[in-house]
Amino acid sequence: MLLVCLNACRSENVNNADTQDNQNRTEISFLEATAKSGINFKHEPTRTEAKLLPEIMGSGLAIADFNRDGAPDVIFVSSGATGIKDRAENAKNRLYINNGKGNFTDQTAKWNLTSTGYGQGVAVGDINGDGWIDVFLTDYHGDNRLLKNTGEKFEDITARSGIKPDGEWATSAGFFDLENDGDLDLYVVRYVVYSKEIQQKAFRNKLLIYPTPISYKPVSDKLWQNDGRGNFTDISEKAGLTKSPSKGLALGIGDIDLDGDQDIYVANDTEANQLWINDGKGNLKDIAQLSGSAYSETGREEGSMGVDFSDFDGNGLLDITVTNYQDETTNIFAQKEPLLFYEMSDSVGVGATSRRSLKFGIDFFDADNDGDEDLLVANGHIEDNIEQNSDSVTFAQNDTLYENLGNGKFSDISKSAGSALQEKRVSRGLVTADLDGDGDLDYITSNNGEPAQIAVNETAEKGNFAVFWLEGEKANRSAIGTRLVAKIGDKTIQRQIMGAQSYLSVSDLRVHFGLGQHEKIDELTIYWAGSEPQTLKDIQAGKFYYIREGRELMPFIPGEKQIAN
Amino acid sequence: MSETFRVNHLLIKYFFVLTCFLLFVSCQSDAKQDVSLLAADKQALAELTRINQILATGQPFAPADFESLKKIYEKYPDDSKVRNVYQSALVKREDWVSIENFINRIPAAEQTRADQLNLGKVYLKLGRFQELIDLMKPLAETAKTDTDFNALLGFGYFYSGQNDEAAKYFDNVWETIVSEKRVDEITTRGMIYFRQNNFPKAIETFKKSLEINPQNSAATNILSRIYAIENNPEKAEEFRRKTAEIHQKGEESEAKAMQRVSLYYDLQNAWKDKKYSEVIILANRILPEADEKNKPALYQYIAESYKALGNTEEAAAALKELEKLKK
Repeated sequence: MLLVCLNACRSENVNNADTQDNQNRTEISFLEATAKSGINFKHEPTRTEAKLLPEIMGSGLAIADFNRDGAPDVIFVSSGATGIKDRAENAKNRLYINNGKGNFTDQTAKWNLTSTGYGQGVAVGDINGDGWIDVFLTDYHGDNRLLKNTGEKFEDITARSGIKPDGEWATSAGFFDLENDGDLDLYVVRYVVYSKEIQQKAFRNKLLIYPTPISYKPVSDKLWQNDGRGNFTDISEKAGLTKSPSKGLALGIGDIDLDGDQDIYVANDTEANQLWINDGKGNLKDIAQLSGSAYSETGREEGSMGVDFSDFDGNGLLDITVTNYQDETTNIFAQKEPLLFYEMSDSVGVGATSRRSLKFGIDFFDADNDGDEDLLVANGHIEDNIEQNSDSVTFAQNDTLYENLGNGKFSDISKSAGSALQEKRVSRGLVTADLDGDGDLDYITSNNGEPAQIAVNETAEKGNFAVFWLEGEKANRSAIGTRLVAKIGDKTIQRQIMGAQSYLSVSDLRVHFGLGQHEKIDELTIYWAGSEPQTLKDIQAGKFYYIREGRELMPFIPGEKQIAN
Repeated sequence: MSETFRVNHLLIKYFFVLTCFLLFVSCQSDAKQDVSLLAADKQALAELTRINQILATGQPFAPADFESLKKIYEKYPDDSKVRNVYQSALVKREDWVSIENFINRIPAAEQTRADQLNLGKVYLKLGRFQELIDLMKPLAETAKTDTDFNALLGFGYFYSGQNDEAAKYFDNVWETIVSEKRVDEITTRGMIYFRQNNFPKAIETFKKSLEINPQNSAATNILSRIYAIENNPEKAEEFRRKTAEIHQKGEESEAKAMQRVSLYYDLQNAWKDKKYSEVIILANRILPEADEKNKPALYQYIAESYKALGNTEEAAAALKELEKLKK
């Protein structure tokens, strides 16, 4: 009798909590579409009883149009087994080519996508200006690979590129134009000095658990300068990076101070995050602490995993979001004045539910085409036995979707935003892109030891859109770092093409504008990275546009035909 | 995080101490219900005592022990001893949602002041500030001089971005906060001044908190930011450096503690496997940085291991050290 009462009371409490969350109703809806997408990637981490640190990190993925047909393709990084260079078949990286309708074909072998070492992250960008998007893969063993896209396949050009393996654990990476000279340089985030021989066992209540990086020494990041022909030189010391080793996992690159060059934010695990401000000549200075973007509001170092930028509150300044450990919030560092940030996760409505999850990938994106950016977070714990130590925290977790209410606040709509968000996974990498060419943004997650998830946006009532695929002439060909400012009615929206964000991943380089009910963009100013701005007027909604720097708009249909190089 | 991991919030340490204290008091008081049933169940009583001992001494609390306690709790949910040990176990497991459910199962009219405070702290931990405010506001309005209610309400308003309201409730009990040296409350008050751009008062308040705890990185971090805003780069750099040093020190001590825990488990396993030479090596490795309270047990391990290996001379030497410690 007593037991019955106890269970009933428990159910009542759980239901109360659910009811509270379900009050946050939304029109936004994402549906599970993995099975019909043609993507059957499963991440292989080779988790062992020793619970080695790399095994729990998961891996990233990248969206890019590798064959110039206007449709976003996807590369998934798998991991393999630590200490083994050649991967088993089930642990290979995968390339899926999109037909523009969200139907993917595995073309890993055809494109000769290599898989070596214990895979972590991926970066994409056109390093030699030939119009084909190249690829950089990071490795736990530090044997990172640069792959040149020939238009038909990838060639491993690491050895002749000047990028040398040094055995240090690399995580996220991103291409960007450091000195605005028109070519893409490369930033590589690195984690800790680690090998399984020095693994420090960690316990929670006598239970062996996956460790955190606390016992290991940090490693400084690497900055590789491109000579424009795909030859890279290590300029980490000159740029000021070697004096500040840290335990980096994620990377956001964008023009934080709007001075026309690219700045870098590095999310570090259990250490202060870094905000490297670029002086335009390639010299970087970390101002995270003084700017208020290094720590939690209470001055604590957090277990930071992912990062993204957006002007979420529409004040014209880019804000920074950072994912963190369970019980910590997803930071919202709001830039209230130039380079002055305030951590506002709780007061903008992200704090409470973000504490319930251990968060990795993150992406600001306009889910309902209303002109403001919503926030999607990929979640999953690092302790695969956490259920033995908690009745309320789980290893696999639901991803979280926050709707931007347009007034500087967010609402957690995860429970009512469709089937894709209802299943628990051990999510890590996250990207967004319009996979099926229907004018709204979909998303993909890479999940530790599990199949990837493809979620399509089926929001019924959504706004109009316009999508821009930019290619530079004087600016770097991938237009990374280019800023777009759109005037739509009485609203001004800005977006940047970021060379890196999320966790170990890169989202679509194409720029997606939600226009709400507007039928056109009245005026679009493109601030090409390191080049002259270009203004276009009266751009019709509902289309995909290709723009080569300085030239006119060219509408295209994703997947229909190859855009001339 | 792992067993050595730092507290995740300013208040967790305080919360945990409070709960242990409650456990200690409650376990010695008369249980209201199920007492006779539990008293008759010798096996359950013995198990409860064993688990209480683990929790009260701060030892790691294994999942198997929790499962065992859970069975007792399901059998005797109304026994106050069982309830208190169970609540303490949930705190030990940092299972905030379960603590909330546990307290909410107690009818509101029967909830004690401690229950209300603990529930408020759970809401604070979970970031559910409106619920914290809703719970604490009537309590603080009724007991205007109650430092705990007012401070918790102040935290609720602070984290939900309502600075003026937060200031009001901290200021209601400010004298007690200062006299009791409540560093978290003082630091948060400083943060409110910072948010309100009242930098002179913020500096004054942070300095007060640093007098109590010089390792308070929340205070040094914001002091650094204030001096940067005020164009005082030397002071900004001084406090930036201090913040980094405090964090560095914290990380080092966490790493060491983590290593110690691992060595303790290796030692216990070696003892279980009768690998006595290994026990001696491990105990001697742990000893230099072991807590004073753990040293006698380590010497005991050494003495017993030497005895098992037939080395009576070394065993006696270890016992001599043990005696010295006891004195």
